[in-house]
Amino acid sequence: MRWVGSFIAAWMDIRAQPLRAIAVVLGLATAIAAIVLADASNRISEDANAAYVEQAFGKEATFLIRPTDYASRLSDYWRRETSIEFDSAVVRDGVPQVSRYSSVQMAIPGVSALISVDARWVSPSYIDVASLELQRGNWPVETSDAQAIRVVVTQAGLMKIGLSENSAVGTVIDYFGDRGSQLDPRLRSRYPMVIEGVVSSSGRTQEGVELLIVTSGNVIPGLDVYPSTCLVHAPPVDQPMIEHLAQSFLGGTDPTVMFEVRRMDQQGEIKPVLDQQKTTSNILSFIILGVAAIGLVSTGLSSIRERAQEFGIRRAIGVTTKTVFAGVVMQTMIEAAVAALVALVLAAVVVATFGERLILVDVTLTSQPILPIASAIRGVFAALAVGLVASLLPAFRAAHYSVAQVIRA
Amino acid sequence: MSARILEASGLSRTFERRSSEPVTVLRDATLEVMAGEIVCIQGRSGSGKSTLLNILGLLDRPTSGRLRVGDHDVAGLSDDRMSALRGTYLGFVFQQFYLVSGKTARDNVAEPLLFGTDSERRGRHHRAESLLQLVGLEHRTYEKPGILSGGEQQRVAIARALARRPKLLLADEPTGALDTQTGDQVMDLLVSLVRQEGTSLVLVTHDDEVAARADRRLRIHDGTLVSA
Repeated sequence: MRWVGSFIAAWMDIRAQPLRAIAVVLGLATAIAAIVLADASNRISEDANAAYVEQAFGKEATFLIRPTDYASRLSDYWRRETSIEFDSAVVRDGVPQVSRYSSVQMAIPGVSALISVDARWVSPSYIDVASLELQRGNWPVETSDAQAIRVVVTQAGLMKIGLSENSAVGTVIDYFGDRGSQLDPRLRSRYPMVIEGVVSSSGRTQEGVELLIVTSGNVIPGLDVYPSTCLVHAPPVDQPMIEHLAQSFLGGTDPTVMFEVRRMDQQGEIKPVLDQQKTTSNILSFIILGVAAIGLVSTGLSSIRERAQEFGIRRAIGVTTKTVFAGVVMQTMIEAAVAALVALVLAAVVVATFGERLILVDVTLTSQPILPIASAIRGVFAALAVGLVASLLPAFRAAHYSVAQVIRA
Repeated sequence: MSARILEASGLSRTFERRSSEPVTVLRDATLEVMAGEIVCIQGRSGSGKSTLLNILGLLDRPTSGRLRVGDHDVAGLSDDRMSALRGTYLGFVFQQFYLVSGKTARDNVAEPLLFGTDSERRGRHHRAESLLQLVGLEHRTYEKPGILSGGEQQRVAIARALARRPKLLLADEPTGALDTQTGDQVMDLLVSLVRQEGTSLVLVTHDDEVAARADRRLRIHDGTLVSA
């Protein structure tokens, strides 16, 4: 139980030099608080973003799976066959919510001239996968055998077409297909289109789309497109599986990946920013820790020099080099532990007071942020690790003073 | 017949120097200290007194010769074993006291007990207070060295040296930093305590009055130890 004596001696050494101990504790506490706050701001930002994503998009993550540039150059027939096969594979692998879409351009008669509309051919399940908010009418479920294709119009589309939200549902408008080489759309065939519903927007991932053509069929009259792009709703943990699946579809003589996967919800947009911020704060944390460690070593060496005769006496009364070494390490570790506690209190107060300003991205907090436990644990470990590393050199010096020389000095 | 506490024979110490010839500061010193005996070693500055005291106190190793402390032959002992032997057999009193300024008199006296056995550690405060009472400083128990006089500080240092009940006390010019009157008082106390506790004392001094209190006087001259 010799370590008990060493521990008591270490504690008494701290008490014997209160100003030095306070300076060490405050210096280290400031560094640790900075590290804890940097980590806390990362974690709170991630949590806030995750909460926002959950609120805005549901718990599932949204992935965009689209043909690679290589696949886009293949024939319509090949793309269609591969896409159907890919759809089946995704569903077979346990991802139920898959919805195809394709962007199309069409012309519709306006008040005084033809209007070019950014439309999107979507599957009936698209409303769920893209998390659209239906404001009027109904989302078409099945339109394959209908005389007219059925569409949902966005607020942007309503403004462009010149319809009011109240009168839009049920309105039939014609559109001109884009098939053939006829440049003047008025000379192309006209097809009827029924507005079945109104959505506030086409979804966060589909900015700028004005019409959503809802059909589960493979062909839209007058429009020469096939939906080879799809949106998938799946738990975030399934991302590696979906990416693996996409990469397993190879084509060409020297096999080339046919599909690429990109996360499309806000997590996908903000995560790179958060990751970058995290990397920056980690680098800063290491620099701060390094500076703290250098400061601690410097203070430790200076203190050991001042206390040389004290260590000499300690050796003279029978204390071994190991015990002297352990005593100095313990002293620094006690100071580091106290510094960690001070840092945590400081960080907790800062988070509670200025939590909203610590968020790295523009999201709304759903609750008052508190200091994350993981950040606190990281701070304690950082403090103890710095304390341990920084104490080794001073402890070695203290343990290896020549007793006869320091006493004579 | 009293037991032999320390036995040194043929001790020599040579210091190697990079730029010049090695220097021998202690030559063939032979010495025995019996239990309860007070031995004084006198000599001029640089004569080798402190080197001999460091070797007898296990703070340094002789270049040649044999040293026994109690039943232990010091040759071949590891540093840690020598430290342990110092802790249990020896106590030190220095000219400059070397008290820790941030600690109270009681904590300074209790310091060696912190690193002793479990029972010594548990009873350290009681033992320290008893010793402070023994040296007449019970009213200074919770004072720090900064406000104690030189004589009081040396008395605290003596109490500290006796804390673990050493069999041999080594005192290097214990009155060297004190005025004559205070030095006499400290010597009176030191001699009385070692007599009372049955502790042996090896005293290094150049003061004849201090040396006169010893049972046996030795003189060291150019590293050679002879009877005075």
